[in-house]
Amino acid sequence: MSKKRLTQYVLLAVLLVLVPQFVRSDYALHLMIMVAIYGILVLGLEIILGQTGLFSLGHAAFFGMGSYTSALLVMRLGMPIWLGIVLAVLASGILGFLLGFPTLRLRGDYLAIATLGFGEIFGLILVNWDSLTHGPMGIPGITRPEIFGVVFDKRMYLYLIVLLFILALAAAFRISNSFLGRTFRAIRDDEDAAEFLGIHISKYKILAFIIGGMFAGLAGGFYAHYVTFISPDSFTYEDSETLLAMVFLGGAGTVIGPVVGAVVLVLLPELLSFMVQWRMLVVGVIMVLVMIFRPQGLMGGGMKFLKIKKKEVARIGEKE
Amino acid sequence: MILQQLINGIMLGSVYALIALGYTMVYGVMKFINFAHGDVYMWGAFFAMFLAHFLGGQFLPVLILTMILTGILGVLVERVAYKPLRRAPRLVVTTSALGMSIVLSNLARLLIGSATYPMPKVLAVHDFKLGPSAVINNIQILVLVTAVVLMVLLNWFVNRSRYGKAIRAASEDQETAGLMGVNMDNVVSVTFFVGSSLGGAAGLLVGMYYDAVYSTMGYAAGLKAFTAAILGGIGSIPGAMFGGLLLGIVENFAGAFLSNYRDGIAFLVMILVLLFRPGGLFNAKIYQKRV
Amino acid sequence: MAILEFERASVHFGGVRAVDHVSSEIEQGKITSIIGPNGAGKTTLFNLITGAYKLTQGDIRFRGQSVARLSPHMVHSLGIARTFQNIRLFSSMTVLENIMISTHSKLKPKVLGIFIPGTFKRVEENMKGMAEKVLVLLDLLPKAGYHASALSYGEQRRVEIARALVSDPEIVLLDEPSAGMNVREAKELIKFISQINKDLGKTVVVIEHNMRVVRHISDKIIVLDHGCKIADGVSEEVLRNPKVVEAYLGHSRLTTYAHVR
Repeated sequence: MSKKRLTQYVLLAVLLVLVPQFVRSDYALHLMIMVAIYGILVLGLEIILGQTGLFSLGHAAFFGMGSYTSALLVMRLGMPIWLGIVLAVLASGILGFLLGFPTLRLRGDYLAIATLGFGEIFGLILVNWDSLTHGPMGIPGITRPEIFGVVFDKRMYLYLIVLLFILALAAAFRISNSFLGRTFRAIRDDEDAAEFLGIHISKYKILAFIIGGMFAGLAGGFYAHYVTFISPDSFTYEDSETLLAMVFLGGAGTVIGPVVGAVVLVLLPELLSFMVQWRMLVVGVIMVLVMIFRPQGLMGGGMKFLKIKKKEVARIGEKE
Repeated sequence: MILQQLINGIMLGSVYALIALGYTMVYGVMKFINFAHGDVYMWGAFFAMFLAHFLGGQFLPVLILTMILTGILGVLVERVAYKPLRRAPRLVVTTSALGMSIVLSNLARLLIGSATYPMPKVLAVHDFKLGPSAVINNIQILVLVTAVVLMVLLNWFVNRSRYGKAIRAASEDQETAGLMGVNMDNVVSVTFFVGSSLGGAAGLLVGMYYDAVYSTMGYAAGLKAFTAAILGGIGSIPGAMFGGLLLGIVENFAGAFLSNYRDGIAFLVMILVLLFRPGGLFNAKIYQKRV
Repeated sequence: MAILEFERASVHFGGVRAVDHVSSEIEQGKITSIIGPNGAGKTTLFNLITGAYKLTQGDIRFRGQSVARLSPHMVHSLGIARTFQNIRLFSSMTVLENIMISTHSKLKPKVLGIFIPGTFKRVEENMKGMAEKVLVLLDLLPKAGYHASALSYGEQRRVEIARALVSDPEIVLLDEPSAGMNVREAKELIKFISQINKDLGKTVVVIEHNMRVVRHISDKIIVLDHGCKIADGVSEEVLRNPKVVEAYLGHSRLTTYAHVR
């Protein structure tokens, strides 16, 4: 690591430690926590959709799986929260497998609608499996984590979640910069060609769903223990759509872009308080506008796969 | 009991079929799933509600005006959200459609409200007994008759009229149709107008039948109608009619036993069809691998 | 020695017999051309070898082992690599990355390894090293960092070939490598294909329309028409075969002349 990089990291760390100390308002702390949770969550969708090009409209289900798993294990079995969250990550990864495996053959909008269906069925199970999930009433009073007998307050929670977010971001960047990310992007660009070049595409598509699910499970676990109340209403298709808008707004396939999208879409409706009612409308308008004017997203430079295709010029000697 | 479920199923199915036609016609010409169609149908129900309020109990004028207004809305949606993306990858168009769906349903919620509104009475209700335990009322009969008449008209339109033929040509091969002098912009507009107006009619019929109109009614209905469209083979007009009826009947019978999971059954059917029969029950081969 | 054998290989799509009872052999270390009019089933034959389609009937064997039931990525890892008739480079990636993708079969990288710093670095450098070696061979190293779409047509074709070579396969299947190339590029291609064959010792199978290329490079020619094999053998003999002349010229005089130019 170069000296300059090191100083940058140290500066960043100092900033991250100090800034929350000067934030006095509870509300501001809350917003920062939500941004970090959504940041982790959207990184999962970035891997599924942005890197691998799998149009998933069921991401809220992974989030919900993480939240419910940890909440139920902790509340019903008295498990320690940390173990609950680890198992939540695993459970969401398993859900990723369960969704990824059967939908292997589906592409594009067919996959979108199938994942939407999975998400809806997941929601119906949450509502109707009363004895396990408390149905539409949800689970209130989920415990906050504690350390050495001290219950986490908002500021401590912020430190924790920001730390996790940074780890998640680093992991996502590592994936993107490794052969794994390249393989995902090859599948996104042309999965048939990738298969002929020796890529076991089924394996990698399922893997994308598993990894994406695990990110969402992590976010879900910490979400449940932060808000302390979850219900099926927190994990609907509207949330999946919002996550999709975050990815596209920031720039699918860029890793950092979707995080920027999450920051914008979490903060924007809150900053303009009259917009709370209008939040979903804004999400919809953003999706349409981004697709028309900047399909590669705010942070996307070379995302050619979303740009308008040039008409293929017919060349002599080429047929079909 | 069985007869009653069958009647309800056919009723519901004929409405699904009407909405499914909108998905399938657009898919035929544009090759993408118009996610906003369910919400166009919802707006159709609201248009019908207002028209019925102002025009009172005149079914036919309400139906015709609703269809025209909804058709125009569909064309507007196409102009705003899809036309600039005519040559973009499908992923982009699908996302735009999804965005448009969110916009339409939230506009309805913000402009009109999130309550469930009754449909002003277009007709007085009369029940007719069919055997010992089955009942059918005049509204149900009207829904069924209207749906059938509209489908017959559509069949005539697609097979006989000039624009219908252009739509069929464009569904077969857009490029060739364009080279043969078919104006694609017009074909797309007509497709959206006709598909959306059928959705609008469905909105009126459903609103009358359940006596309820609300801003989120487009979501589940849209998904189910889409399921109907793929059941019959997306892109195929008779397929959409068949798929609608089949789904309506299946949903009613299965729903009678598992009432909590009624919507889930439709979604399950959808996923199963997508997984095992993406070309529809008659299996048009659209997923042949090509290199 | 035959490295690849077709035994009554057939595939039918509905009523169409795209490839019908083709029996022939590909000799190890030789260059074999597959020729025939448009729609003769040449690319379909490649698709059968590489596992894109399943045989309706018959068998295809690589070193005596059937590849008929294998999926494309398995065929690749056995050592059969291919290019595509319509160039299919990954548009969002650089030339180097495009080629690195193809090293999977050889290196079999472990997913969890990416989180172990040493392993991560080693795998990446291995892949890069392999790709760069091929890029040097194809004279493309200066373009390594370019986006694939920024290259000329001829260069893109070469990247495709590089992508096929990087996994060090035993057989290279080239699907119309000279399509869209100008005369100078086609000449270089001829030189290069012989180089792959002589210097690297690869068995080469090439689908080609350009008769000049075919004549220059082929040790053996297989002629297909309407999915059936109508002749195979040493190049001069086959090209003089009256059946071939009739099928080939009779069907598509225009395309043939366009290529001879």
